[in-house]
Amino acid sequence: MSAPDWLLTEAPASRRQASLGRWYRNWLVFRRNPLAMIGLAIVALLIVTAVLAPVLPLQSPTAQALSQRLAPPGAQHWLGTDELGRDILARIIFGARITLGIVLMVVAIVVPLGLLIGTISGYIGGALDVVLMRITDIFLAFPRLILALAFVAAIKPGLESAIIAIALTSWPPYARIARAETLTVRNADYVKVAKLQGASWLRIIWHYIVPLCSTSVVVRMTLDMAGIILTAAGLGFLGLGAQPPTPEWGAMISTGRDFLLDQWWVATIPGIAIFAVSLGFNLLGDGLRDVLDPKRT
Amino acid sequence: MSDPILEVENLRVTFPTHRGDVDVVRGVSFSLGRERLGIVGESGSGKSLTGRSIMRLVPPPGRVSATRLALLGHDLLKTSAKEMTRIRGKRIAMILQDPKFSLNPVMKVGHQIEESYRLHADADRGQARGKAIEALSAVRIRDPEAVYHLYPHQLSGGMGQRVMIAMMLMPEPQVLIADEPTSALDVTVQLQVLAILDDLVRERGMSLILISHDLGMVSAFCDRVMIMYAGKAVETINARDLDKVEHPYARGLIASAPRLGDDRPELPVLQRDANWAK
Amino acid sequence: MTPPMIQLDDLGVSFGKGTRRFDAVRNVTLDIAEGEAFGLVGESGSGKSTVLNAIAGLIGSYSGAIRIDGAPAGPQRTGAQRRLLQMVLQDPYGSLHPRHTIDKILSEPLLIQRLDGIERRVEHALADVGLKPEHRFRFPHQLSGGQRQRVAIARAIILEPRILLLDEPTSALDVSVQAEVLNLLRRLRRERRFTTVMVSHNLAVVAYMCDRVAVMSRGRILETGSSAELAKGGFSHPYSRQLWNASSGYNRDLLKELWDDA
Repeated sequence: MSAPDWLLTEAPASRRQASLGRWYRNWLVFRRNPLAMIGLAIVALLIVTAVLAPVLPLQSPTAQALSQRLAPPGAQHWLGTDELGRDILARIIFGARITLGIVLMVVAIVVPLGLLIGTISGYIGGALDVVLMRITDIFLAFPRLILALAFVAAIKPGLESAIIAIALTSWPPYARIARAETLTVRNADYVKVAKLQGASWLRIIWHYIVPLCSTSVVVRMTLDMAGIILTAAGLGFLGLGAQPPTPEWGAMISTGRDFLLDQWWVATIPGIAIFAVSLGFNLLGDGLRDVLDPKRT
Repeated sequence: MSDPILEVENLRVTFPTHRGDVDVVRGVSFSLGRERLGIVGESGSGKSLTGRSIMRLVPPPGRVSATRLALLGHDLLKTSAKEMTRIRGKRIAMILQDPKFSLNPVMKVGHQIEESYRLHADADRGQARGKAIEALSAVRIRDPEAVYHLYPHQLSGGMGQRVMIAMMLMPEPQVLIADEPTSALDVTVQLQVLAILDDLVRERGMSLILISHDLGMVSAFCDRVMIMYAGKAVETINARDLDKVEHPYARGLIASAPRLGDDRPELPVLQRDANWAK
Repeated sequence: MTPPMIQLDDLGVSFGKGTRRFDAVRNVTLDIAEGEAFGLVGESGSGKSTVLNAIAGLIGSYSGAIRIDGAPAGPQRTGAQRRLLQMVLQDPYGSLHPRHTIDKILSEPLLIQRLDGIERRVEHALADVGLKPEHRFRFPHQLSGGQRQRVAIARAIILEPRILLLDEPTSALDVSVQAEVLNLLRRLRRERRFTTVMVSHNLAVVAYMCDRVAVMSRGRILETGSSAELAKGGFSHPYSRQLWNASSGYNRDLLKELWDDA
């Protein structure tokens, strides 16, 4: 039996085969969408270069060479150098690690928090729902960047503060989505049966509701990543995110803007990086939505 | 028998899938006079798609083909989409299982009926309103003036289905296709809705195609019954001769339903034969 | 004498408050003996499913008393009380979690009740309802309606309950599949001596499956009798007669009384 046959069989012989088969089917649908595949390629490239950055034959992202400052793109520096003579290609690739790190950290905080608040709020309902949702509304009402700015200004500028600030402003939509999904399934027959069997509310939320919410949350997450990257870059640009000499894309644009007219590459290249990665995540998110949408039968 | 109103010959509905084209309706032929024809089959037998293809309402990517598909001698397969919109409603109308999905939820039912009348007849509001009230009383709604002002969600299932019928019959079509019109309703309400259909068909000399899974109900209501299995019409029989039906599938269906006063220790299970689908 | 398996004493259930109060069930008193097959028939809104849900402990507030196996059974139940009784619902599409394999669906009740021998019990339950081992790791959407309903039945019997509640278990199925599921339920009942309560709008199905039948309308039980009596039209309440007439098929002459009553 060939591998696709094994995956597509209607009679899987084990738990693993069944779930791999489901993933493979989703992959087959996903693969048919060329834009989503472009998005996936961009994101995959970002991840691979970020992971491999230390072993790639790059120049140091922080080593200064004032003799070569503001060199245009060429054979020695493919993407040129910045005002301190640092290789921009190396800085972009090491910057990818930072961007990816911020995104992952934010997601690691925001998704569980949003899921938890949303599902509990939706499933338990009543007064708890009202309280949790009003808290959500309050956070939702703040403009994202302003709240992040205030937060970072109050603590201290830096990567950690930026992550916490972005997380603080990004969880409410997840709670909303999770709650809305929970409301549609909380009265489903299979939940009724689980109650009848004596399942606790925690078990119902974790085993029955979360698997159904998680697809829309994952889609939302991928679409949100562009926003997170932009906010992080915005904080970096304002000097409130990653601190020098860390090669953060937003901060790179910020220093590069002084030379925008004569040495365009210093600010433009990190700009293109931000644009490409945001676009990649958006395309990926759209593709995932088509595949994972629970309303799709 | 008089000239057929609707002729269907070798009707096919094909859906493309990963593994090539699948014929869901495979060469169904029948002709319909001024009568009540029942199409009976289980889920997946192609009965609903047969009804829909007459209306040219098969959802894409489904394709319909036939050697002949004619309404009053007029070839429906060659009719343009625009012309078809006029034929639907005016010449053929369709009633679906759940009126909730067919009625506009934010419009009073009276206005919806008026609209369906004014689409096909040149009438002013006053006339249309009179017609709508008349139509509501024709489906035995006791207080048509009050129901006229209700919104669809305020109607019970049986009432909603009656409003649907009133609306569909407004332009006085020659053929009415009813796809499971009563299966969402309680038994007593089912009978009322069927009785209304029965009266209207008789009074107006319409032809009716009743599509259902309920062989007992269809055979008690219709003149002829066509039994479908796996996309094919396996047997067509006069309703009152149902007990003489020959096809083993139809016999199996009849036998497998429990009857009142049934004392069989076990219900016979339909043994499907691969040859039936050929 | 052993007490009845299920005892309802003046059960009342209402939803909403004040002018919007709706009495779904009123003054229902019932004794169902151990091993009995009891049927509730009525049309939508008659309160038959609400009675079933109250027995199952799924309704938070009600008036009157519910006793199961001699002990009072409110909405808060112990694990053992929950195991005593399981339910099969109408819609084979909505009652199975779309992201759980059949294996997971059947193991869940065992995990919840902390039972051992999960592997063996799941295999057994599948075989008991006539499903093959190859069905075990499929998802519900890979099964037919009849197969799904078999899974729902397997899920209910895997806890070895003494009471099985059936809420329109076959009304979403094709007639030929209905026969298979009804046969299965009858066989299981013979083998395991369940007490069953079945709710249905289909008189013929209820009469075929049950020993005793109650007719419900607008929240009340109108009358109760043996299903043999029901089958031959021996029920006397006008509404029961109407239901009986309607079940014997479309007949123009019967409609007169229906209109007068509608």
